[in-house]
Amino acid sequence: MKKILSLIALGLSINLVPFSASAHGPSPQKVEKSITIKADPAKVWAIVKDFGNIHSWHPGVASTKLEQKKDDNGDMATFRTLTFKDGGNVYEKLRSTDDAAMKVKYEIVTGTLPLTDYNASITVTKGENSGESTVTWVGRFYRLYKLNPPIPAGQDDETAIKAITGIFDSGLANLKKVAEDSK
Amino acid sequence: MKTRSIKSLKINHFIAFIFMCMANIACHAATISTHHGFAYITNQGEDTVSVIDTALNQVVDTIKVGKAPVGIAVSTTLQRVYVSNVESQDISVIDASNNSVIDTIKIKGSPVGLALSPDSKTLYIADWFDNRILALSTAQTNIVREINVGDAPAGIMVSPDNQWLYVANRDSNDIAVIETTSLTIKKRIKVGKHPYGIFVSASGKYIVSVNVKEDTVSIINTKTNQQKKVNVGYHPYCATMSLDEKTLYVTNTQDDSVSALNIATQKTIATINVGSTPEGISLDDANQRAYIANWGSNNVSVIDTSSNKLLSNIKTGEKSRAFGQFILRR
Repeated sequence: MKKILSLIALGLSINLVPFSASAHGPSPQKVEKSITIKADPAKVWAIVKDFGNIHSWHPGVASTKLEQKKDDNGDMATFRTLTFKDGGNVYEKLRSTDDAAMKVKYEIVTGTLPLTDYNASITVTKGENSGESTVTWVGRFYRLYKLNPPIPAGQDDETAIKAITGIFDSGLANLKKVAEDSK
Repeated sequence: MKTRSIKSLKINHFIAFIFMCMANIACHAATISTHHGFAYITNQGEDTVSVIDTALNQVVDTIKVGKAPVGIAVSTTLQRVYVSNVESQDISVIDASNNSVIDTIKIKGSPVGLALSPDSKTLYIADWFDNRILALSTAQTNIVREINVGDAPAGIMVSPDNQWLYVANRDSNDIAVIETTSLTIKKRIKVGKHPYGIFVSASGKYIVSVNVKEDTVSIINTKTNQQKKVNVGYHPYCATMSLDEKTLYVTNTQDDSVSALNIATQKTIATINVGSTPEGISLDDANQRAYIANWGSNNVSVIDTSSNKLLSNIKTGEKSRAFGQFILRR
């Protein structure tokens, strides 16, 4: 957990990065993490799909502000602002919530994490045994630095991957705890 | 022009044109006589190329290439496959007869998009960061010409008459139309926001740019210069068109789907769910199949283009992209 918070703090020092407006390099990065939870998929999905309540299960998130707003195309959309416990933040847009597939998709609009053009999905599937679920969290993003090498420290692929890996690992571990503990 | 005089190029071009016609006839005959195709899929996350036999829809070979391979170009004439390795900044040349790497060509900059001239004599390479196109002789890879284009050149493709190279400049929102003989820009066509993939139809009648940030494709009629924009799915990347120029297929990366559009009516005929984050797409026209490389799910989806239904998903490698024309016939 300490590691994640320090990574988030690192993100803070880079200022707000406009995610959608910026160009990026040719190598998108991917982090994919899964966990098995001893709880019914329907129950786990109810927690995961609740876009405005990620702070109820993610240990790195202090608070969530949920808003309904018009997006760039003038369509109503759901946005949330996560404030991390170390003070960093991200402003995210909900792309879709699919109850049949138990899949939620979202993207970062702006934020303090050391990466750009981030989009992600969380999917809940039936686990191997009855009463078990598998939760898979996949993120796609680019490093901060957009030109040819040399790449400045803190703006490389590794930094971006580490930040997301930390967020996914700690989030999934605590999601398991929350889902298994609650009746 | 760095290496040859204009005059000799013109003559070469004429000879090349004759050869191209012959090659086209030969190719066409091959298409009819055998339905054997091979899809070469770049796996950016594990530095390999997966080879799918389209008759079996199975991976029959996996080839180690340079670091972070993205772009692909295949030559049925030469039985060669060219792969752009973004991070090792080179091109792997594969001999398709035994699927082994026979050459690695060092490139200044970061090669992404690749395209072969129809006569397979020239390999065009888009350098993403330095905003230029390199034109390499496939017979003598040390002979390189270059031209500066727009910002972040992505998809590139040559017209079937070998006259024009079309370049989608992602960050200047246009297509550069480059005369291949003189390697000069003759025209810029304004398209939608962030054109990434590009496709030139079989007769050269249509150019299509895939506009990522606008969720549209621009379909340009090269005879009338008319441009029509059509809405597709979220964050589309690449497109391909059927041989009869009637149907366009577009990968929607963040919808995990492929849109099939009727060119005449510009209407969506079908939206087909595929693997996650679909990127590169090529058609095996002889078998009525579309092959789609899925970056997110590390596989290739196969669509039956006669019914527009998903047939199967074939496991490939980490971060499959296959950016370019990737089906070779043997």
